[in-house]
Amino acid sequence: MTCSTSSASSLDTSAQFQENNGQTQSTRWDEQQKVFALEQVCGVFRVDLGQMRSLRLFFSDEACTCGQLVVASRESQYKIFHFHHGGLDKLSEVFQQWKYCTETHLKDQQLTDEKTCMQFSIRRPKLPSSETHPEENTYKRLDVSAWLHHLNGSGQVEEEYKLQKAIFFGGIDISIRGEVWPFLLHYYSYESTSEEREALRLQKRKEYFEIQEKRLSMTPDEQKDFWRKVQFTVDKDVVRTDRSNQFFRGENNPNVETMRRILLNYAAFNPTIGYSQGMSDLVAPLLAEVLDESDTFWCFVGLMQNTIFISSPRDEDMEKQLMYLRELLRLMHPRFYQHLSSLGEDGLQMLFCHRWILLCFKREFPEAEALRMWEACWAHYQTDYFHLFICVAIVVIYGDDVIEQQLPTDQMLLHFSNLAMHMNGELVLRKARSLLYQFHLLPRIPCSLHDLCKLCGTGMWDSGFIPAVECSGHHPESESCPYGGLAEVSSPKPGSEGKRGLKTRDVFAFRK
Amino acid sequence: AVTVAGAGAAPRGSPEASLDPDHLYNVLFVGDSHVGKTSFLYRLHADTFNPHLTATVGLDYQVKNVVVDNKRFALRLWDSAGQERYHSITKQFFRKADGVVLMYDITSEYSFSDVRYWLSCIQEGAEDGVAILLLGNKTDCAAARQVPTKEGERLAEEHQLMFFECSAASGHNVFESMVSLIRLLKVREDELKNKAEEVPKPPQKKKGCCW
Repeated sequence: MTCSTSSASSLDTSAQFQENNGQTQSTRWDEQQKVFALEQVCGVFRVDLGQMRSLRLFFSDEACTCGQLVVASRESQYKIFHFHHGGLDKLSEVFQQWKYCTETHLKDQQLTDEKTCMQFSIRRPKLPSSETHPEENTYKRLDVSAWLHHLNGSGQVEEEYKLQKAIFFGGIDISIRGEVWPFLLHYYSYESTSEEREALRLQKRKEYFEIQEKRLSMTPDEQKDFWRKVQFTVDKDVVRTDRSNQFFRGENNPNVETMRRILLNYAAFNPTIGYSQGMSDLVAPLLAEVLDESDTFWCFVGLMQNTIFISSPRDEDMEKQLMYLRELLRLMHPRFYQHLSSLGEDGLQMLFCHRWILLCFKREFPEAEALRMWEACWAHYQTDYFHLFICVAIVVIYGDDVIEQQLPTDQMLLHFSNLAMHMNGELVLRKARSLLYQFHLLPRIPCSLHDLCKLCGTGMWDSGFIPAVECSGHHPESESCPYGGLAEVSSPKPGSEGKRGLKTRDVFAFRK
Repeated sequence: AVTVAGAGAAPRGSPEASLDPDHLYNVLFVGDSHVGKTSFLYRLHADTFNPHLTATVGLDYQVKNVVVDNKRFALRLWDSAGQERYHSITKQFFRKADGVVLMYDITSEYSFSDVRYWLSCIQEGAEDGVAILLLGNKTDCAAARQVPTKEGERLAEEHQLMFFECSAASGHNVFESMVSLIRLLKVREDELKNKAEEVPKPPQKKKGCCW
């Protein structure tokens, strides 16, 4: 099968198609390079069908083997592939069987046996309205005027819950991110007045430069140790972080140096956490929105303190996250959970989602979409673990193949890492919001998920309704369920009276 | 979005992937951060150098199919994050690995002195017969070299490791070292098979104390 391509469009189609030499703006270019290099080796190309509108086949011979494949984007740009020596029939078979395509019949299509054209439209994953949060679409993106509406005369946020809810559903307009993020990241308190914030900024700036001063005046021994433990890695990481972002692009970009200083100062400020790889991925977008060095630093401090999922990626934290996620999957997507269980311990480790959690989806979605997810998580609306609902949403939307093909652990990792940068972030977010809503409606929850909303004030059952807690039975340290859950199945394993053994139903008191 | 790439979970890489390999090995890449593990794998896969690869977070996975000595080998290559984060995962993979590639950077003494640390991890976590390849990467940066070739050789000899110096940037010894590792893995596999065949011969005592 020989195939040549030609473009027919008023615009440069190479910008829309990922081909051997094409470029896309949306994909991060290092990922893209990886893809291109692979494609050159394998002699393949790819088109993101999610961005396309239709596929049409025009046959030029009676046998329907030669002709053209025309791929049309939603902006009515066309890519034409010529099949001079057959093969088009095979392609049409593939399209006919492929679940992401639907054959659509053209108007005035010839009724004779002779086929000259076939058309397929692209099926996009959709959420039926029954599966969306009932309050979906009730909030617009938070723009300047809406933001000012949330502030009173002295610049205090009037009702923080309302603001958080608005951000959770609608996100924040790019123009005011730098202004609002510091609240979400606990740098500014919601009660602070504009005046107080200005004073805080000045004071914090002074503090920041004192931290830097201290870092720069280390003894030679300390310096050596710091270089080895922190600086060496930071130096190598900052130059390869988000360089395709306009803000960090180009040689000797001063913003890269600023990012470097922030990370070094953070490690000096908090030596127990120091620097761990991935932090640069998290600080870069903050700097690009907040702009001021000291402000960014303190926002980052807040981020590291208040977002459990990245602040301390120690084994036990990660284990806890994974345990919650497993339980959520068991509850909300039993088929997938069953598949994981069938793979045993390896499957339940859920390797495929570790990076999702560690970097909060930064490498799974184009930045614009990833930052929407960050904001939705930072809003701490009804739960501190919204990121886990996003994980479940990804699995619900993109995990069917895993179950159908019974993919083993490694193939599952491959499946999801191939999906990175090709998923629909907006859809995932909407699904995640609806999953949270469904969780909210559950009449009973397993005690393993009891703490899922412990840290965020009244939590998700603020309307007064409290679900029954059901003991899922694994309390190695205590004889009875520390959450007062009633055991349904077998009684928990006997063991020594643990620290938490004495807690009973009064844990629920905070909700009343 | 529906994508060509995501829809079928097609294995990255060559079409050979669909062919049934004769042998299949799990190979885990470890070593300090920035020694070039991901770049090495990238070179192996795409035969080019990409200086802008981001730091690996979590675990990456690729399948590489190679024909060596007229046999088809499938390598499952696990790329780990150099910086210790979620230790229990790496540990788990040591256990499963048929081979470990332990990489250091010849321009960084520290990365070389950490080789001993990584060896202790392997010793602790991996099966006894695991094949270990010690790789000194970045030979293209000869001017910045801090670890003499001899040092690497000595360490390899001491611990009975296979040893190469290589460069993911230039491609030097990238394929050669992997082919050698594959041959070693094959030898180890054959040894294990032979052992397994020999074992049933003596009368089977379940609670024997003779060994």
